[in-house]
Amino acid sequence: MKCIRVDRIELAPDARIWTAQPVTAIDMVATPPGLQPTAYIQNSWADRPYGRITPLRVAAIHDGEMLAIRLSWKPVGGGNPDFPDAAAIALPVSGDPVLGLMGAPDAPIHLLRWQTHHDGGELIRSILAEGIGSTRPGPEIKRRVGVRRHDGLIDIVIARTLGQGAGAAPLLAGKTTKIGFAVWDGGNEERAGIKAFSGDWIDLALDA
Amino acid sequence: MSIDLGRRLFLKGASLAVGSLALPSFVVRTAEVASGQVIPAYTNWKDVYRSQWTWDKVVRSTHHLNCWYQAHCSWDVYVKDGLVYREEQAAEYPMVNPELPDYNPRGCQKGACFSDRLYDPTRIMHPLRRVGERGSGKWERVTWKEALDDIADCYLDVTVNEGTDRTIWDLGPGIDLGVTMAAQGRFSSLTQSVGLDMDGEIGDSRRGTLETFGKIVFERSADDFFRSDLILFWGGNPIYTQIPQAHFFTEAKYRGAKIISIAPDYSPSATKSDLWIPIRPGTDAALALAVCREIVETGKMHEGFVKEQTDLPLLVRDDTGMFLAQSDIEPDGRADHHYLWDAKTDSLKLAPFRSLALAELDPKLEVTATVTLKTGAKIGVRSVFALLRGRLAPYTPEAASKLCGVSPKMILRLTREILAAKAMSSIGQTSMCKYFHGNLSERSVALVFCLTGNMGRHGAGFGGFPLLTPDGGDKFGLPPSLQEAQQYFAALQPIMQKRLADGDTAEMITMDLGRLLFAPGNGVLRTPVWTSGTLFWSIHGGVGQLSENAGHWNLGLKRPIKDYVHESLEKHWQPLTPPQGTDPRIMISLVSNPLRRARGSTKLLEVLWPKLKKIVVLDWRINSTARHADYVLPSAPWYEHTNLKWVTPLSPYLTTTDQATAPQGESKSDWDIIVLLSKHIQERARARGIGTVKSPQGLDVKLHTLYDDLTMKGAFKEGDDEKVAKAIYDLGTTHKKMTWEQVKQKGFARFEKLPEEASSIGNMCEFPEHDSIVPLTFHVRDKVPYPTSSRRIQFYIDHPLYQELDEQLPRFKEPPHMGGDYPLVMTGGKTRQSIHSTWRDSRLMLRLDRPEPYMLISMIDAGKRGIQDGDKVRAHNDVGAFDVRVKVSPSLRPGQTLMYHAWEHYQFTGKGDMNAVSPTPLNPVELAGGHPHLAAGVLLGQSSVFDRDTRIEIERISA
Amino acid sequence: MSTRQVAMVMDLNKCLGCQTCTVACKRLWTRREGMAHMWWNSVNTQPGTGTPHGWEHMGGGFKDGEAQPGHRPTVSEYGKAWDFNHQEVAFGGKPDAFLKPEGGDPGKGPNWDEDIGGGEYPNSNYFYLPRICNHCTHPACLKACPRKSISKREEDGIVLIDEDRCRGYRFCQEACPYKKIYYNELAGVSEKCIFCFPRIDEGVTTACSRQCPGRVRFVGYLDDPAGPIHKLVHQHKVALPLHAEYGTQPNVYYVPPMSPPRLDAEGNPTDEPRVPTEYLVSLFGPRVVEVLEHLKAERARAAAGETSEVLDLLISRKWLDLFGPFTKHPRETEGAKLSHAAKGAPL
Repeated sequence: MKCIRVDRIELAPDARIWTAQPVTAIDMVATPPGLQPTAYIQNSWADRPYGRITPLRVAAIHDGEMLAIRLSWKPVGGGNPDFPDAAAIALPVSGDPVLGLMGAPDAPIHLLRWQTHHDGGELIRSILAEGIGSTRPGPEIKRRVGVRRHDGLIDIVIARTLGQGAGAAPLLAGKTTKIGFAVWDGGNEERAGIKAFSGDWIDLALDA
Repeated sequence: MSIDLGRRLFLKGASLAVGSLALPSFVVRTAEVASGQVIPAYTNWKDVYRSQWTWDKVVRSTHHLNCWYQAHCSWDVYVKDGLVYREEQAAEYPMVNPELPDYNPRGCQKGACFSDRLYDPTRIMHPLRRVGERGSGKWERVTWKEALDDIADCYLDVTVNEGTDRTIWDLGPGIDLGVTMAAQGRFSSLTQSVGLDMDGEIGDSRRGTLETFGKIVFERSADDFFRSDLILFWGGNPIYTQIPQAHFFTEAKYRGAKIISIAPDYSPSATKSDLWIPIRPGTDAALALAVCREIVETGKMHEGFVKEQTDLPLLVRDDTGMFLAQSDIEPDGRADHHYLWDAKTDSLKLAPFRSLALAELDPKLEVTATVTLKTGAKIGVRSVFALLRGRLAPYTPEAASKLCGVSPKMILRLTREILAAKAMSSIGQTSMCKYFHGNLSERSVALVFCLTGNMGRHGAGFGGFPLLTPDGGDKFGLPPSLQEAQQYFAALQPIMQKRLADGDTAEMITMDLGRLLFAPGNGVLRTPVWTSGTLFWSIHGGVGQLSENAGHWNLGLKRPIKDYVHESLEKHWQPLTPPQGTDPRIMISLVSNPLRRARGSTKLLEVLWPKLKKIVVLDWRINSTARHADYVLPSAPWYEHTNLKWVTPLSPYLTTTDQATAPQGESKSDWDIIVLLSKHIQERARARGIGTVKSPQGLDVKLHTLYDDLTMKGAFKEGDDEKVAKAIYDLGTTHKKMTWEQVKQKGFARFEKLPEEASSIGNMCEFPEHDSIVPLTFHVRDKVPYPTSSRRIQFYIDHPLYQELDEQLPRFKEPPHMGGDYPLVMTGGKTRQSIHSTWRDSRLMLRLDRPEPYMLISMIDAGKRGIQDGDKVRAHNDVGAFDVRVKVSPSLRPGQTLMYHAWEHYQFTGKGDMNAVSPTPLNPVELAGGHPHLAAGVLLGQSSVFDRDTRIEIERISA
Repeated sequence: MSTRQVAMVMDLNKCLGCQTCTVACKRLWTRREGMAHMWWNSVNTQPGTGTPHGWEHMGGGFKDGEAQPGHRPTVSEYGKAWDFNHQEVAFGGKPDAFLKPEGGDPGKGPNWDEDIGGGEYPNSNYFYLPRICNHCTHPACLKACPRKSISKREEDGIVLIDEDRCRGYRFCQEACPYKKIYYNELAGVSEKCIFCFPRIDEGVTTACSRQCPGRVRFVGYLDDPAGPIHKLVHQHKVALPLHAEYGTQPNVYYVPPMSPPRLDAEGNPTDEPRVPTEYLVSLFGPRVVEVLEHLKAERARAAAGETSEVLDLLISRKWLDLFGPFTKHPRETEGAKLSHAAKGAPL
């Protein structure tokens, strides 16, 4: 997947700039039931479908300062209001983490996770994961989000500053990194490990 | 206003706004404090909780409102950041003795959230003046000076032009007999303005108890119930109304006692019983009399007790129906000396007078005899017992069963349980006296206790009315100044000496001193003026108009109610000030709420309100009455000033409040407000050249020195709440072991002796430090006569009104159909969630209840009418209607509906409230007077309220 | 496993249904924003739907050691925390305004069926059941949490949610068979009874137990032979767990309720208690029958003037005896000092 350099990124998912970008349709899969961290979650979701959101349509741009990734998907859940729709991009920090295992202590993963706060504000959290159920607050890096819901679709743009250090996953113009995706179908009560994800890392090549 | 901890502190540190730099997610920003010093804020979630368990200071306090039975719990009030943060019971009552459970942790859920109520959205912070029509709900903030000058000028106009008796104090459940009432009492005494005695109007009259014992006030300490082996929940619902001491009942069961509950519905209290006896509402007399008949006819009566303590041996004339008096027989005989028939000598003997002790006498119980009068005429006489036996004869188990709906076997079972008990008690309750014929029920139940000798012993006794008050209040409130107190009270000495010499008891004399309040210009003592609240509402307030068709309600009267009222007022049997035809002009409502409370209160708005030139409400929130006031003056709640108040023997501890925080906003203590009102009256009088006016009875009322006189020349002025509290404490005789400062530190102090004042002397017992309290022991153990006309527990009332209505002896009368012949009986009771209306619209209490007023109805009645739980119905009868939700319960007796009380007017949708269907007709026997113990006195002997026999129909109006 | 376990015994024969416990808890702990709907302590009329409504039919817990799926109660099942239009009524200039809950359909509050119960008149029956978090020995909530945010304290077995770790996933709500976990939407975390750990840590018993005017609640360590819990649970065996079949080993025990006799068709008392025994068995298990028989026999002994150790314990003439080692007075703790310190005042 390519990340094209532009003059200025745009956060608005319906900004004109996005229409010019190639879109990659990523096949998403449900996280394996056996990898759910507790017996309760395994048992209570054993007979319940989840992780059905696919494909996830992705486009990426950067302007030398910020990377912006546009995600677009169609929620399928039943509209339960208790949990928000959410999505995250995952980047390896160091080592060679396994995306499906949410990294390891010596191979952490850095996530930027979006959801709408109950009061209407758009939240984008920086999270560090070193294994399933291990997430903790990640580095305080500059990040932004733009959100648009229309015609039964959710489009979001997640942006973060380029660079490396301070525990953040390195993201440098002219380099290729790995990226992963996760989507939680709020209407289907998806949260935590109950989600759809991209299965494995995808290469993301940033224009110089 | 909210004192909840700020939400910021607890929000997770997530970047809420697009583009903001998030804080580390569990570190909250450091807080800058007023001092400028930066200190670390809570660094983790545990610290957040730990911070909730911190405070700045703790003071001892309580809730000085009329919780009555459950009053007076010693609380710690936790103050944080200048506000009351929370409260928790102090729970430091010592063990009275090792055999008895202690009193801890006395309190209830209402007390536990007063700190929430204190700052709720209706709290008034400034004096408010109505804008627009009365009741329009629009207010403007005014200064204290504007408000008090205006009220003072109106007061002066009314007092000078129309009379001193045109200003009325509405003294509802907020009265404290402490600092507030010291101010009101002094004001009333100096100005001869009129206080309404609300005991009957709030439904606490206990008429049958007065008729029987000559008083209503006597109750044991709650721990004495632990010594009962049979406790009757007969009337009342102590699981709702005695929360702080209900543990003594449940613990008594574990000590081996049984509880029997007698009630129409399977009430919360019935759930704690060993036997629940469902009864048709208002028919308790039939059940009690059947039990009495069984006891008498099976020869199980406690003759020793009956002969000594009751009037059953006394002789009654066949010709007049009056007690045979010494003055009937002997030329110089006294009318208050009565006769019995001595079995030993088989002759007529004067009943003991100065003592109940029979000495050599052995009174015969079953007496039918002929005696010769001083005129030479021979007349037949019979003992009260003989008359009573005749009266009881029809109440066979089978016959009574048809009246009260209790099976004959169950009646016999109840009788057996009663006879098996070595110590039987009944809870104090004010349920029966809210039935029109409740006096007859109370007398009948009292008879059960007397026939079995269950009085005045540990764990044994009929429950009277629980009141206990330190006796320094009158000593502070009545005399011109503390220096002149001795001289003031000295005027009473000759009268008291003479009465004592003539054989009257200190109790009788003290109670009669209380009766002086009802006779303004009595010539003995200048006192505050009190009058009957019920009669006031009925006559001046128009509530009496609701009973103009009472002839159709099966009240069993011989004449229209108006006739009885006319007779009573004409003969000065009952007090009414100002007299009929003299309109009241100013009403000052002292933390009371009559529009919420008074049955038929919609009439007050229609009839009384237009007569009033000024309606002033002192309260800390806009209650139903304040909504229709001209001024609402912000009275500071209990945590905000220092005070003491009357209590109850159930918990024989004086409890104090120590000011926790300053009054919020511009609010002031009741003492301050009344003192300031007197100050403005004095200032305005002087400015307008007004001096002394005369009361209708000719007493001088000095308007230009009112403040000086009220404050004892500035000795006790505004801001002196604590000084007054201390003075009342020091002047009292009931607490000598601790100083005021010590009590204030400790929060409570056990009564050391019987108070010497009218409202609580009726307990007539010691207050031992290491034992439970047993009322009436001075009578039962020490043989001191009762304050009745016969000087005994009296079951025969020889008053013409009682003769007219055939109520000389206890009997059953069919419950009337008040409001018309409708199928459902509307019963009621005090709510669990509030003390009167004080918490009734509290957000917190409503969340634990239902959000709107509701009426409990039986499943059968709901089914018949197609009504489901939660539906809204219109309840109506000939008198009025109101809309209300229903709660359908299998615990309600078919034909019974039940509305727990105290819903505010404004909690009802539509026009009427639950009082709208209650005409509360006056019961003629309560208009009696001109009689030694049926005369009006402090909190007794006046007309009552009757709502329990109200008949209604309900119709579904919406889901 | 914790080394010790604090536990509570609630004597249902003494419970007044007055909610002082509920209010005590509310005023101390759940007073912050986002917590208005929380009743970490609740008291309900049984038979009844309880809090949250229908909680006994919401699953969770364990069967044969296997975690069972559970329902996550809805806002309406928990009951809304109504706010009212007090301002409008008091000051709004609307004479016809009446007090009503704001925010649309008020639904049913947490104590909606108070005093209704079951049966048919005159054999109506009910009793009160106070509940808190059971601080289970095998907490289903703890086992369900994917983030290990829930733990049992080593020293006393109090089950706590680490609100810094919690992400508000609410698997704990589903897994808890007693439905005693609430969600703070504002803070995005689940919250529940903390067994007043800041009090317990200072030797003060919980607010619900200390403020209970009915003297219903005993507190102490399960393994303390001198304390009331051990005596009631293990020695006299009169206190039973609620729904032991849920498989979590709850640490709140109940002395089951006695009730007055049923009446026959003529209105005469029978020998049968009016609360159906099978209903009590469904709550407290089969041993409830022998416990009630035992209490009856002991009461007969007490009535005959004999001493009953178990009844004396249930009476606890000296109130502080209810609380095992937790008898310190709140005023005697560090509360005031800590508050001053937090404000930067000198200690």
